[in-house]
Amino acid sequence: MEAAPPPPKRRSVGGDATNTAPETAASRKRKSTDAADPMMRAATARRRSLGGKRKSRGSPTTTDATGAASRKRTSVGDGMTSRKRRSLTSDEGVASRVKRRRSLEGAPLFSPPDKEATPKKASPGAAELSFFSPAASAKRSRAWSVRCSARRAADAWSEHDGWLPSKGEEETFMTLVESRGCPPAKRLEAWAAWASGPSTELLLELSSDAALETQISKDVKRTLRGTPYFRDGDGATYLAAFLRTRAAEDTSVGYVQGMNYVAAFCLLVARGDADADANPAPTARDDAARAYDAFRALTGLCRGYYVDGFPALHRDVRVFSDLLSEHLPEIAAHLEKVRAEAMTYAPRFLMALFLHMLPGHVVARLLDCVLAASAVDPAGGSDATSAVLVHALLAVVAAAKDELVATDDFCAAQAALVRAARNTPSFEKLRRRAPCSVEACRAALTRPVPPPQAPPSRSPQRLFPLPPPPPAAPPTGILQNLRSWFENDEYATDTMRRPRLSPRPRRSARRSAGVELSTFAQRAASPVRFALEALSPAPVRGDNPLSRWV
Amino acid sequence: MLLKVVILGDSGVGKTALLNQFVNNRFSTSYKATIGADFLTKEAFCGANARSVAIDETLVTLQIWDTAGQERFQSLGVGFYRGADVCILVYDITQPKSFENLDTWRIEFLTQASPSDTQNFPFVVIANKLDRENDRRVATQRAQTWCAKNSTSILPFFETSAKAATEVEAAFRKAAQLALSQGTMQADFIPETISFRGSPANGDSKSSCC
Repeated sequence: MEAAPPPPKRRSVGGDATNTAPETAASRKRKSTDAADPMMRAATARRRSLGGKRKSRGSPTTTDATGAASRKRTSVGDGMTSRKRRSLTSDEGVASRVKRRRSLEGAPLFSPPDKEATPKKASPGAAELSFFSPAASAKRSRAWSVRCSARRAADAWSEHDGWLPSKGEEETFMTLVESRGCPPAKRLEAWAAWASGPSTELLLELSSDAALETQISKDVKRTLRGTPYFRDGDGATYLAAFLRTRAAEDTSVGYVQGMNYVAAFCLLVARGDADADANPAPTARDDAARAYDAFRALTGLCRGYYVDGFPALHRDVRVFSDLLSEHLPEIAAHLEKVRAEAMTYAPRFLMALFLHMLPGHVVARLLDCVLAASAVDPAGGSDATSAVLVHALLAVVAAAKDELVATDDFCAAQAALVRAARNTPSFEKLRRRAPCSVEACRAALTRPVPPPQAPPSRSPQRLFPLPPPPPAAPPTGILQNLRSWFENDEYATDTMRRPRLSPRPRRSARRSAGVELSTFAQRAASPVRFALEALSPAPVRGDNPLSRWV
Repeated sequence: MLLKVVILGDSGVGKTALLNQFVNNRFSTSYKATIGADFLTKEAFCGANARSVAIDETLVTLQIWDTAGQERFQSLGVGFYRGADVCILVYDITQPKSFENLDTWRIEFLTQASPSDTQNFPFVVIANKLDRENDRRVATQRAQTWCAKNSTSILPFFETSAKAATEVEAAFRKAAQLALSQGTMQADFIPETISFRGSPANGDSKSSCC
């Protein structure tokens, strides 16, 4: 009478959540006993049949397959008496195993959840900032060279006198900058030293140029707007002031999108440290002025990227694609195949000086090189800047090689390039990936431009193509006549198709002997032909009407 | 089938937001200015005929080129616009200036892309930021007049909101459909059916006349 409630219901309630572990334990136990010895197996089978019988007596309604299966599963546990179960395996062992398994699946083993440690809700711009800001991205980076870059750079620069090279030491100075970079804490100071210029008063007030102001305010509103410093602090004010002042200084350039990222980056360099990026504390006037010096120097060096018509951009992209097809021909061919011309992807990297593309700490090292090179370069440094940037772009493309070659889609190739740039772990890695040196890029940039070649005039398409030109008249002379007679003969054709008689020489022998040796065996097959060829100069292959078909 | 779609319009009208809404069904308040161009793909089923049933719809891949809005970036245009199948012009209903610039964008596109048939090149006009209806400064009527004036056939016009996802899908679908029909028109100029038997209505009218 106890079995009166419908068994399927009970089973579904019990079997789902609470009974799973004991059941599995029981089945595991069953397996082990089954394997143990035949006597035990027989006993288990008897018990099983007994249990099954009893079960079926108790629940006559379950006749379907699932009912039978579940009956079979539960029969061991239900049918066994507790004494017998204990005799098979210890109950404590099962219980402890179940407990351990539960603990692995569920809550953390080592520390109970701490209310203080639960992560605060990240601000919307936090992710953007942790990629863009040099300090924050370096802090997040796991690359060894990034982790100890501050200490190594400080050590390296401690021996150097000031931030500028003495006469005749430019090369070692540049090596120092390229291999170690600035110490992050001193970066603003170094940049200001390299980018020295006339001190400028920042224009914090709105200017009278309405179009300029509209454009600037539009872009200031969407530059790192999610971060506390640019949303609540004075970041936005300084950003607008930088852009406005620069536009007033160089009226022919004005403001161009891309400069806003450079200005924001300089401001973050002035903040110095990752914690400062994340709070809206004001920037000191002095620091802002030095950041502006760096911003002016950078935009001045890249003036050709921003001035109307982008002349330097067009030149650099041209030089870049030349270098790409020279050093990475496979990738260049593949990019051409998916129709991703350099002009489609290069501007987004170059015009924003790789900001938002490479992690902040890598861009900082890149701009170290740019500014230091400009300080050393007597020519003003815009060529040196282009060389550094083109070099970096080559490295990015080289890093994306595997993904690029695997894809056949234009958009996927573009995305692969961006991903490769974003995943760059460190500046050292970037430089190592580049297929050529910065000097090679510099040389390519200063190479005189080849005159534009006239496009080859295409012959008009004919409806019916002309017949192929008739073969050239056979050479005169008795030997030649004999030769052509032989070659037109059926026998000659047959020999030429006959397999080699002598074994193919080793590869090394073939290489050293060139083509001659490999054809030797073929020639030997036809003594007459060989004799004729030895007598007469070897004919050009295309001349022989027969050889064309064989 | 691959269709190249180019999106043009002043900076800040919401080109990137529209695209993001269409491709990823997402809207974010923080966008960054597009430098150069950005590229996205979306696959969609689309038919060449406006009233097509699902049967003659084909799978098209829309390759969307999101361009930078600042005027100076037009000097990069030749490479970006060439080979486009359809062009989407976007303006912001709260900024009359962005509407007035549509003319410039259209002419610039036609001169740089130099399509084979300048008159019938498919354009779609999108008025964005419909969610800010209260700040509207460009009347719908004005835009519709412009659309009627600038083409032999009336340019399709949509008022959308990338934020609220209104009409975004429809606008892109229309663009794809226009590009498809244009493509088929250029590919083969054979009308679908040529009837040699005069229609019975014609015959009747003739007989009654004589």
